[in-house]
Amino acid sequence: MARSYSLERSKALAGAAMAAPSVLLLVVFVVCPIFSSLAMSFSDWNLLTNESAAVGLGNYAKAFGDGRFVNSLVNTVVFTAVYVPLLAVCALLLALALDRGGRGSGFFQTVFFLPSVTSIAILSIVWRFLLDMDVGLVMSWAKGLGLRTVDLLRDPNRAMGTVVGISLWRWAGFNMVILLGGLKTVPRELHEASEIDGAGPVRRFFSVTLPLLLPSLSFVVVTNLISSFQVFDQVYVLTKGGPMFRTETIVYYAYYRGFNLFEMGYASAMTFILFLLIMACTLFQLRGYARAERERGFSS
Amino acid sequence: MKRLLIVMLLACTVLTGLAWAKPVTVTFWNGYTGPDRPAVEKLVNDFNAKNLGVAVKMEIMPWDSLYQKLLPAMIAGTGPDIIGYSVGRVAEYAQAKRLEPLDGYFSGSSLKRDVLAPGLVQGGTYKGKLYGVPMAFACEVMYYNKAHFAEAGLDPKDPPKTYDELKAAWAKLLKVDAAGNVVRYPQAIGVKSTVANVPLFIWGFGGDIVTPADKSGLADPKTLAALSFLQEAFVKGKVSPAGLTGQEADNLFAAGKASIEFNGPWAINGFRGAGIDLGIAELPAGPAGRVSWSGDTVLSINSGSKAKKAAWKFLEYWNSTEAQEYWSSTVAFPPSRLDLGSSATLSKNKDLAYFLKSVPYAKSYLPGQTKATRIEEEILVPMYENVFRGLEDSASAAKKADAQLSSLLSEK
Repeated sequence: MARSYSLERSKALAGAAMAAPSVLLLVVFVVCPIFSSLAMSFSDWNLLTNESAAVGLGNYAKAFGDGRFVNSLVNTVVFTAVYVPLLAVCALLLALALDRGGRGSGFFQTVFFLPSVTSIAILSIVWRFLLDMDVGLVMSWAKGLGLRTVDLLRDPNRAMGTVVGISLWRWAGFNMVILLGGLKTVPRELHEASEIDGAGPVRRFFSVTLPLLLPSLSFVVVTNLISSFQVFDQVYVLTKGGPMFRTETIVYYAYYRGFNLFEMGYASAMTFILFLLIMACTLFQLRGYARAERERGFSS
Repeated sequence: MKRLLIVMLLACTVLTGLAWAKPVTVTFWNGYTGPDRPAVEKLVNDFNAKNLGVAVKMEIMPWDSLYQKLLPAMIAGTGPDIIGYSVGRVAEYAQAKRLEPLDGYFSGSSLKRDVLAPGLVQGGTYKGKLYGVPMAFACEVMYYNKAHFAEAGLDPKDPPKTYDELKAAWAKLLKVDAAGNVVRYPQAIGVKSTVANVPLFIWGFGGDIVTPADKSGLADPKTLAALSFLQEAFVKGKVSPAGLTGQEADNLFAAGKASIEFNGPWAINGFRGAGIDLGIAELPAGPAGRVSWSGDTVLSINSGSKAKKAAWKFLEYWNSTEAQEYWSSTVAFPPSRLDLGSSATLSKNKDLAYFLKSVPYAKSYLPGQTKATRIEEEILVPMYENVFRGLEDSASAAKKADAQLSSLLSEK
């Protein structure tokens, strides 16, 4: 008995020792900054003058009274609410189309995946030039075809749609690959059996494929939900939050207050509100998925 | 043990001797990544070659990187000794006590304060103390596409001299295709992240954004007249796309999609390089007369620098006759000194004449204003976008902005 105990123990210690460097990095570069940022949010630390005073929940109250913050909150929620479902649907459609295999599916998988390995900042710069209404390539083609051109980036009503579109273009392929992997786990016998029972392709999709795809789908939705609440790069490069703050998101506004106006305390508070928002949505999602998976017999 | 001590003592002496002979290194950050970069580098190399006991180590990075890195570096104590940066930011950094006051350095220096162009000196002053000496002194002029002028029936040798002539030219220069899309804009007018464009018109009508008494000038009837003039030009006259950044406006002009642009000397080489048949002229006069913008960059010394006297030597050199003659004749920026008017070297650069003529009537934009960034981004740009897209009447938009500006100016 004593011997197996010490063997377990030394195995555990060895495991801990091997994990220690990564955990240390995680603690130093992720956990500690999170806590110090929380502490910052309770002060009004100004980076320029390096003065700071404790203000308790003052920054949080200020945020909800700040019209521009509320606007950025709305924009962020709108972006996420439009982007994530569209992304899931697009990725799913692409995955289904390429699941059939056949010639060229490998090529197309690569083509769709390619945008996700490139830098979002560079992509956004390129798209900003392409979509420029006056000197952009896309618009000159459209004019050549006789179409009426619209300003996709400088029109206040269209700018958000453009940001969503470019984000979709970037990430659809990546999520498609995840869902493709999920599709491959659906046993063919189930498809064949249901086909024999007379189920058409649509019925098969909703009753066989979709339920079995749930783990992959939930992964796609939850991870993209988390990252889409934090959208910044595309906004910064494409529209700088404009036109007229119509695409300004929480992270962008927090960046503006923190690094342009040097109000680090206030910016930290805003990012913590975002953190709470993401946490609430994620927990809600995960509970829903966990229940759905249990109902369908997946062991969690 | 004794031998070891002797060896160590000798080593220390040698090293100290070496340190004594080595020049003091000062770090210099600036954002001159564009076509003027070689000129900046040459001046730094020339200075270092003089062996005055100071070695300048320069780091050039894009402007927004510079501003992002500058403050954290200063706080961490790793900031540069010398900063070459926009004069509009002097007030902000001076207020935060990050800059060394330079008034005392003129005594005993070869550089005399009254020889420096007053426009930039004014911009580099905060609460009566001087924090920046001129680095690049620029004014704005009118660039126009001579080919477009000829095509539109305008005389390329006689560009508009007043706003009325400008308005008439706009009407002729606008080109629209069959589907109603604008194919060529009369003028590219940037409203954000740009050198002053809209303020030029406001000044031209005799108005101002912030008065010298530090009050909002947005409710002044002359400012309103300017905004109304521009609103009509944008909405009815389709003079320019609304909401352009400075970069986008430059691109539009360089691509031949706009016929006129108000810009500074840095743009000349880019436009010529893009194949534009470039015409340069002084800015047209508004009802209140001719007005241009003056500004650009200054050199400041970091208050946390450990080599301030050494840093000053470089500031001195940069504004010397020799350096300014080279700088001006190469990049067409007017010299920072007032005593180079008859210089033979300078008259070699033909473009320079237009900028030199603009110097007497050029104004600084929001001088000494610590809240300049906020005024621009939170009040002015949204108002411009609103008004120039025709979303709101210029008078009511200006009234709202006036209230916002007054409240911002009276904040803390």
